[in-house]
Amino acid sequence: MEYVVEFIDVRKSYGSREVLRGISFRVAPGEIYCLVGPNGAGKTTTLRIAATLAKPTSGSVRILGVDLRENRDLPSIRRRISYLPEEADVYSRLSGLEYLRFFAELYGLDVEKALDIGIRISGLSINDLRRRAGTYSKGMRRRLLIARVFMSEPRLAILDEPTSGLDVFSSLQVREAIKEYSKPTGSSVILSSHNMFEVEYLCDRVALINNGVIVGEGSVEEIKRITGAKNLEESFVSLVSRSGG
Amino acid sequence: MGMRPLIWKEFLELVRDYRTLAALGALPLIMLPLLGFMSTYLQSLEQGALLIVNRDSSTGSIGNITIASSDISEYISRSMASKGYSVYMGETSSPIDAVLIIPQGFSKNLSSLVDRAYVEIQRIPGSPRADRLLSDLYSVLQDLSTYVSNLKIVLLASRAEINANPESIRDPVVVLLTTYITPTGEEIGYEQALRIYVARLLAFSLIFVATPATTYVVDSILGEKERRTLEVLLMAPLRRRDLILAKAFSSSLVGLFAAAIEIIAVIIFLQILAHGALGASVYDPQLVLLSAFVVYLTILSTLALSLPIIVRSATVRSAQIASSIITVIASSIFFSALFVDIDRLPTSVSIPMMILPYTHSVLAIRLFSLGDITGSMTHLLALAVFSIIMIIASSYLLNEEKILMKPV
Repeated sequence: MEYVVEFIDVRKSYGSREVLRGISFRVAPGEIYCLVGPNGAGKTTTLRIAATLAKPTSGSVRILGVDLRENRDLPSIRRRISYLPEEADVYSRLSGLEYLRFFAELYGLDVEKALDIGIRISGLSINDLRRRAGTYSKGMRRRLLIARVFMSEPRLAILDEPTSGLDVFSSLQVREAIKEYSKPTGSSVILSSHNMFEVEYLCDRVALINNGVIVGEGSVEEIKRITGAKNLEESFVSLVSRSGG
Repeated sequence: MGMRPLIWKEFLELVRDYRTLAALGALPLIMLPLLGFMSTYLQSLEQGALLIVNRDSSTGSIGNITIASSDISEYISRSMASKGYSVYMGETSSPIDAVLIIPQGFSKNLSSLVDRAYVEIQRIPGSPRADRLLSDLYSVLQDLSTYVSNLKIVLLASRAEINANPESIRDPVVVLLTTYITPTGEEIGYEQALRIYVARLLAFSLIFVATPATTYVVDSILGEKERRTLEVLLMAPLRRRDLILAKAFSSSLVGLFAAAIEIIAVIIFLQILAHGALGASVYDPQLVLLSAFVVYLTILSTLALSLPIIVRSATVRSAQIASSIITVIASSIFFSALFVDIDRLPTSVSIPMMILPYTHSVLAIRLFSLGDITGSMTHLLALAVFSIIMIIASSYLLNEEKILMKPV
């Protein structure tokens, strides 16, 4: 099987500080793969490498079957990837519709079709979408960002803490959108989160990452069984403690 | 494929940023007319004050004309008052700009055929108002001197019983006519001479367009980082070169806007000059149009020069501080355009200066005003080529990983 994402012994240093210390994992087509770990564990760096925005110091990274060390045509890979950074925001002087249209054109999509999908995923009314995005609530902005991610029907969606800082209702809507729109399009998803409920709800497989290494990997049930914990939160604490975190 | 939507997005953001547009528009609309106003009307509003102290009690005569200091001080007073100055005699408690002292023996010496008469002048230092007053005072004293020397020549001629023209004795060499020529020796009229003067002021006025240009391009790239939209944009399937070109081009739209405003400001500026000190129309639509082109290309080259700094900077603040070096260099060139003919400098100085795009901005305007259209267009072309090379070079310096890193 050709994996959508394949990390083999990936290391990443910023100066003398080693952020990733030999990470290996694979994401299958259509799979939702979650990275869970404490702050500073290396989740965002891993996602940036997967998004082709950062280069590993050593190790092998293959995205959609392409070895990033050998391929210099990043635009052709990026056309099939969608990335939502943790702190991403929308262009406040564009309306929601203009925002979606801009990215549809930038990605060379069928604009009308992409807009149809985007509008549906965002869950925002046409009146709201015609307003400047600067007037949106944080939840509305996040839904617009999620719509931007999935309207291109990407082969790989990379979501860095997609519900971070959202209230319960907005989080629920964003989670539903991820679940609803990743599966039918066959998109694989790599997602980082601190929210164990979200991880249990969304993820097919989970990697627990601590101090730049993966300390546990498997389905939610497998991880709970290995650690003998009642829930994922306890499993997480147990694995992090064992790894010396 | 990706450049067009990016330029469109930047354009929408620009036209909806009313405050920035208002500030950009206000700058030339205020600065240039203000420059014209300052250099003409404000000066004419200043009235200097002169105190005349007459310490002379002597009298003299030339032929049957009696020379008395009281008459002379009265003449100077009337002449200066007619030029708009306040003149006080003897003493005053009002603020003054200069004092003219007529010393004891002045009239005697003035009427002498052997001695010369002296006056003393005291003045406020470093005052343009005093400078102008003294310039007019010297002119009045010169008229007095001419009048007295004419009397003496007529007296001597009558005593010698010869026929003499006082002017041919006093000023045997006369400049018949001063006309204007270009450095190539071509004769030009007064109005074109004024245009050369105006072109110098226009070159200086470029000082006001360089700074906003760096601000906007810094905001266009690093502002996206601070507004947390850059990471998503960098992920777009867009070549780095296209991204930088689109950003530079859209930032230069600000230049287009500034150039359009500049045209209006220049026309107002020229009208003020025409109705003010120059006393002649200096409005030249071609010079105005060229000025707009130069403004646009100066802005484009400024942001092209700033780009390598910006794409290697982590924050807006650090990029703006680093870019201010560029605006300082630009300002020094535009400021020197007021006092130096850059095209006439020795080649050992002028050739190294050609590395800087701003030298070409100044020369494009100056050569155009001198009638050298080919030379002017060559410098415009140099500006455009320089800008494009710098923009493309900057795209190779863009490091996505570094630009996304949080400053530590």
